[in-house]
Amino acid sequence: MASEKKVVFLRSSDGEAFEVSEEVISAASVTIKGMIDEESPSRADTAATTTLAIPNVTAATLSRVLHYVNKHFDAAAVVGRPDDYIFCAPGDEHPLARFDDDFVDVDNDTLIDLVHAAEYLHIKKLFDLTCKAVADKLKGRTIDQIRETFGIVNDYTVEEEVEVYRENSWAF
Amino acid sequence: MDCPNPRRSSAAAVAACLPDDALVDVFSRLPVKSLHLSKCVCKRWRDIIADPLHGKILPQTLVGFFSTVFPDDGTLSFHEFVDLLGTSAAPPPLLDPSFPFLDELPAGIDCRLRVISDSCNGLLLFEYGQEPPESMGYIVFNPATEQCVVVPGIWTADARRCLCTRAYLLYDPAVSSHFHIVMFWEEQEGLVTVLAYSSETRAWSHSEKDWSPEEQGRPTEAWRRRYVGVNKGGCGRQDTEHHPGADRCAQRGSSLRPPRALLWPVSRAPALRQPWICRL
Repeated sequence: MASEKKVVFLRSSDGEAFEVSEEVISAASVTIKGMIDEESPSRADTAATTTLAIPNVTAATLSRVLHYVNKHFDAAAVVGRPDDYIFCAPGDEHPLARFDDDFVDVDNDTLIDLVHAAEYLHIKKLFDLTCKAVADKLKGRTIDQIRETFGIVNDYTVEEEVEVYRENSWAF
Repeated sequence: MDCPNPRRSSAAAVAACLPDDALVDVFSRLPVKSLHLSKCVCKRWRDIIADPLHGKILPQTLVGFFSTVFPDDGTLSFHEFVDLLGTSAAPPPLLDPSFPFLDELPAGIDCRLRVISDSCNGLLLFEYGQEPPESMGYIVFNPATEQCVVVPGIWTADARRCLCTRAYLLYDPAVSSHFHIVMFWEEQEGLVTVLAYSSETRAWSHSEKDWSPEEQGRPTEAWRRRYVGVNKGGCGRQDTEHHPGADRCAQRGSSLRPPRALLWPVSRAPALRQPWICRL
């Protein structure tokens, strides 16, 4: 049937290919929509499938991203798999809030990789979600804890550090 | 991308290689105290937070405010900057608080008495002149471009009945490059006239005549009562807390630190001071 869902394959930086509905990924990712639009004229309408290289995202991250994308952007899947989806009565705020919370409950490396991927693929909802998660990890921490948590090297000289601490001392 | 993407075994330099856009987004979600702590983490974070380009997105700290000083000895009024952070390391105001451009105005403008009366999205509004009211008017100054526009006041035969005026500046560069001045003109007991100046038409309009009955009612009516009430309440010139812009500033300021009494600098002779919080 003509209404058969078109799919595209995304190849991660480490060579693994992932299948995803063209409609879903186009709705989610501005970057991939642009790639698909560029490909379209040269693409036959027949069974040929497109494989897009995503050189900046590893397989581990890409599979997480696609998990998120399928949850958030694939209305059909949501309806078709009620057991996989917590249905909420109208008026409930975020049917996927629980999913989102679990999704970003990961180690820092994974989270930062997701921010990178969301930025590169231009998935705004995912970018917002992951940036918020990073911000939550910063809140209420001391300077040393922030450096330790995110593996940041203190590049201030002793004099500069004294100065910047003094300027901002009221916030300690 | 500026960071190697293969799996990192340690946490080293993980967040350090977050792209700037992502860091700005992260910082914009932080309360102001965490934001200032983050400045101390590393130089790159400090530079991103301090970048004026991000000023609109990130929580702001009220560094201080400009104030007009009217010396008791009859000498000219002048402006000063009141530093609220009180640290010698606080950055100096981006503007010279003596506003030297005021001394270079075209002839015929009586700028012996000039007062900062409002600020809005980077523009400053000054009132100039004194009696007779015909010589009064407004100056809109853009500190970034150092351009200023002189707006003559509008005075009718009723001017003599005018008890006091208060002008506000409206300007949103995202909407229009033109500004408006809205003047509340208290004529007599409880009666306030509203006049508006548009830099596009370069004319004052008595827009209230065109208002619908609804527009003449709330919230404008409440506004007027509050305005009049403030003056009757004896707050006089010190009514900054009733200025909508100042409200916003006060809110921003109050979330930063516990409220504390402000010690006014006593560097000058006794004088009446009109403080004005300027959001730039």
